[in-house]
Amino acid sequence: MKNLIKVSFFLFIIFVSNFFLLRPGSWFFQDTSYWYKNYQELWSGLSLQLLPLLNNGYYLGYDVGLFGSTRIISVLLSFILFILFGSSLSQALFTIIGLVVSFFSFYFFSGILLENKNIRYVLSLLFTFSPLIISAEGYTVLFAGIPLFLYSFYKYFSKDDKTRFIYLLLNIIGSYLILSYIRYIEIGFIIILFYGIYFLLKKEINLSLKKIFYFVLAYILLFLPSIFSLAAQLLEKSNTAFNYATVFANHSQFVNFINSFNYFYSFNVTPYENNYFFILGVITFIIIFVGLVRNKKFSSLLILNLFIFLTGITLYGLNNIFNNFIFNKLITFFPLIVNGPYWAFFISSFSLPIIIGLVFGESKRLIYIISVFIIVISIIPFLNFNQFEFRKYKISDIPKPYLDYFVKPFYGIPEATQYIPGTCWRAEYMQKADVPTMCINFGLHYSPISFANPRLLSGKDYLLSVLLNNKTSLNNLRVTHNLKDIIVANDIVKTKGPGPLTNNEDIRQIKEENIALSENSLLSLNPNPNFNFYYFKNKNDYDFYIYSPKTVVRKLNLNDIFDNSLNIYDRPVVVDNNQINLNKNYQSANISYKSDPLNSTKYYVKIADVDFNKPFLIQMNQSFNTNWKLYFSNESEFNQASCKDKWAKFSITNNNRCQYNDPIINLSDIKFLSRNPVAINTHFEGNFIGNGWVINPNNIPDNLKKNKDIYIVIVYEKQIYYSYAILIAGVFFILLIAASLLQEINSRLRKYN
Amino acid sequence: MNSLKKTTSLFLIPLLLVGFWLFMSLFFASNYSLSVFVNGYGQSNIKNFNTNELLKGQKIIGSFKSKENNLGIVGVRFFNFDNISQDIVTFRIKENPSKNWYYVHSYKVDQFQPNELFTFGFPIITNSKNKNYTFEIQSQKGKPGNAIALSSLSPTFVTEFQFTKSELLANKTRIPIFLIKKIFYSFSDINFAVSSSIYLLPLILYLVWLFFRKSLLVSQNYILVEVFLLGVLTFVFFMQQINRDVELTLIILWIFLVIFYRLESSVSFLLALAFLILVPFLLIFNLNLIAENSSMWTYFFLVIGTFQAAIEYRKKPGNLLTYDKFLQKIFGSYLSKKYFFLSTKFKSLLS
Repeated sequence: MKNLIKVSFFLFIIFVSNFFLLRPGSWFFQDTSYWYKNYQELWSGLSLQLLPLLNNGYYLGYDVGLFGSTRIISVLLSFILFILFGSSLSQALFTIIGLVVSFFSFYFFSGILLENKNIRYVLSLLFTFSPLIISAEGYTVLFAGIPLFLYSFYKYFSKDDKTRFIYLLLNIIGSYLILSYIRYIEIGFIIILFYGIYFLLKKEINLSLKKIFYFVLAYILLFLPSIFSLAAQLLEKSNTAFNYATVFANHSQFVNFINSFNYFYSFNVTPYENNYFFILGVITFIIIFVGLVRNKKFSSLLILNLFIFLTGITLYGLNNIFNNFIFNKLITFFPLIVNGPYWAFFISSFSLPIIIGLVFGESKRLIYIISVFIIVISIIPFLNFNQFEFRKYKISDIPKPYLDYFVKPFYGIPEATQYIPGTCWRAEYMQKADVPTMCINFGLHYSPISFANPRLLSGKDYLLSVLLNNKTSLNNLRVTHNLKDIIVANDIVKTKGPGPLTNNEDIRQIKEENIALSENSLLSLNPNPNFNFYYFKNKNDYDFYIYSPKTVVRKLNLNDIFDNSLNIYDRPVVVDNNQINLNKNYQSANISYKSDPLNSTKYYVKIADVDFNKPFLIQMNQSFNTNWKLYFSNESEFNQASCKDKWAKFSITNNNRCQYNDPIINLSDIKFLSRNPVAINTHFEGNFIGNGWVINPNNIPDNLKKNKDIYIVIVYEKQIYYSYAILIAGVFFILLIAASLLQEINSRLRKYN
Repeated sequence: MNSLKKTTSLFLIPLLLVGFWLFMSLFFASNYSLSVFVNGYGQSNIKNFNTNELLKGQKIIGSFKSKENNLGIVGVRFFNFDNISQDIVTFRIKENPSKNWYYVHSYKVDQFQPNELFTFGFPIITNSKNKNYTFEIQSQKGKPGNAIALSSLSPTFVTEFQFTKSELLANKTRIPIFLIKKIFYSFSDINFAVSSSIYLLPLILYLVWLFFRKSLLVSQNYILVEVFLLGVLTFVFFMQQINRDVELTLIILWIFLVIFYRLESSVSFLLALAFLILVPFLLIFNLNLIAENSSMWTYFFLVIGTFQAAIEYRKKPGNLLTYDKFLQKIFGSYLSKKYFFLSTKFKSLLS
């Protein structure tokens, strides 16, 4: 096959399968709607990779839990593309690059198994344009990870004694890609395990001590942020550590086992969901099975791939085959396992191209015919631009209120907001009944106070988010969550799937909630055709984010948060635990604090107007975690964090706030670790899920008591270690790149000479 | 020695296999215990039967005449559209023509499995025989897309009659009648009938082998395979619920036949292919459950074939029966000639 034909055909398929993306406008469909509309969202997305405390739009934030920072490569790629090409085109290019990288990864990987370049080319097309991979638009770069890992692993541990750093580098990149989406980690692990055993048994690799040493060292250093974030969660015995797994691994259903032999199965976008594709999918498998039956010679490679294929189907039909028993046993060892087609079929789809190549190996023409048949069927649905999953929307077509409130960049400090009926809206966003899901807000201006995602939140944080659903008695949340605004949809229409559904009952309920809120005398209303923007009339007079409470209110039941009983003028803090020993009243300090919206892990605080010989409280309405520490600071440090804007004064809460810029990776913060944290024993859970500290006179050094004001820094201590972990990983990544380049250049020069 | 061999082959082994059949049929062919009678009812016993979503306030109303005493369970077959619904249903039952409900209880539907019977239990009615009963199942929160429905599979619902050991032992003369009734009721359940016949298969195969063994060895008669395939097809076409013990029995039998006839892995793959080819045709005729069974057997034969291929790769045994010779043996020369013609034609098209 001539190279020109190969390249042309490849470009043609890329173009056809992505033509719907290359049209003008933004594409948003369910999970893939998480694309940046402006630079602010872009920076916010990048910063998420550098912080252990995420918010992802959620006002209170949550600890990242497992595998922090693993999306750094895909996020950096999307960052660069966005800078170069803007929002719309960067989304398309990100997907296309993912497909191209997947193709080449599989092409090189197949080179260690097969010799014929034309067959390898065709099978790489089969892999790249398999229904599962091309339908997982937005995640295509992930699928390059497994073949890249296997190829580079094989080459690195080749029988050649030389340690080639380029392959180690590629292997690390492959691992980062595999780990970039947590739910697919086990898929990668299973396939790699199979091939690893295969390479070992076939004695095709050389596990020399020197190579193993470099390999392990590189992994430890370059994955230090991820290792740190996982180890820290385990050491803290955090509830959240394996939350994702516990929630994700939902397996109560028997599956439609027939789908195991449907080649045209999709994930995310679902263009193959009709009987014709199902019949074609089964026919494809029938053809493969005919080849299997007629195959005269079973090589170890074919047997290996058959086992991989069967593993995928077995995991998919685990309940059908074995009932809950085996699943419950396996889940202990494989926490992310799930018997869904969108998980298990990635295992079987990895092996299918190789099986096709091997069973039809004697007839190249047959391989070409079958492969072209499969590829054409796979990409044809992507030409149906009428399918609502493929539609693109111009940003300028978005109704003005949505544009003004949620799309226009905002660089200030976000306002805590409650959304009814939640932040992921559908048709309402574009006022049509068949628009895909769009999560309208990453909380850049109006951060949601509810985040009912059980994968990421646990305990009271999660419970509270669930309780908040459709509630209208929200006055107390001014204190507990610093709530300022309530946004209620008034353009809800009945929708059809896929995506969140709204029906007549939901629409009726939202109307009732609008009425209830309109009767709340504390609220003012800014209506528009799309939603009602309620805000507390005195929202500019209070800031309950960091304040010094005057009174302690005991509420032992989480539901009491909706009893509207708190008087904000009392500057209360709610305590829901009888074990915490607190007075009923305290003197209230004047707090001045500096906040950076892009970095929620550090606040500079000045405490004034208080007798330091008597106790007082500090409350911060940020998710409770023992990693939050107070350290004494000084006026010079406080002033070094210079305010970008004027101080905002809040008379009700007796505090002041300004915005400053703090580099996310601030290595000088290590100085705090040498200081003793303040009031570590009197750190309590205030306002149900926030952080409270009792500052007693004995907590304050005598020399500081003489001053009129005291300066402290509130730091999420983990960030300090995390920053160094990122620095070490970054430095060694650059060193590895340099070592690889030098080694390759030297080797080429030697060859030339 | 000869007589010992004869006793073993003619008496002991068949006895063991009969014991196997009885034991498995009594304890593993049915989801119900030995002391439970089960009676199945069809769609005609449901008022205005339909398989639409059961929405808030809507009811399923069923009626039946109890055939035995000790009525304690009504099991209804639901379908959940492969979603976990958040609905709650209220079950109530009363004797006709009473106005008062004998028992009322609510159940979350997230535990309902698709096309499986969900059992609504209530205090046992000891004197229920020949009395008419009505039951209702009412949805509390069913919404479109978040509701359950009746399954189209049969039986639509069952009634279960529980007898205690003490009851049976109190009057031992009733035990034979009880057992006869138990067998009768059991065989009225298609799943029991199929399972029991599969458990009988080892005995049947053994007896066939016993009587045809000379011809099996001499002329390579594959009647055992044909009987086995009949068993699998019976399972695929008539079994309406998952029974892993039956599947395991068939799998073990197939492995035995593979060893006995020295079948190559391609034969297992061929059977996998055959069951896969059935699937689209079954779906065209809306025989979804049978298609599901067929795809399950595609998987089982694929697994067995893969393991065979691995063993063949490792051990490289000779004189294995390949798929084309297998086809010839099973279906005779006619089909193999037709296949040969098609195969040659196909090859010439490609070249």
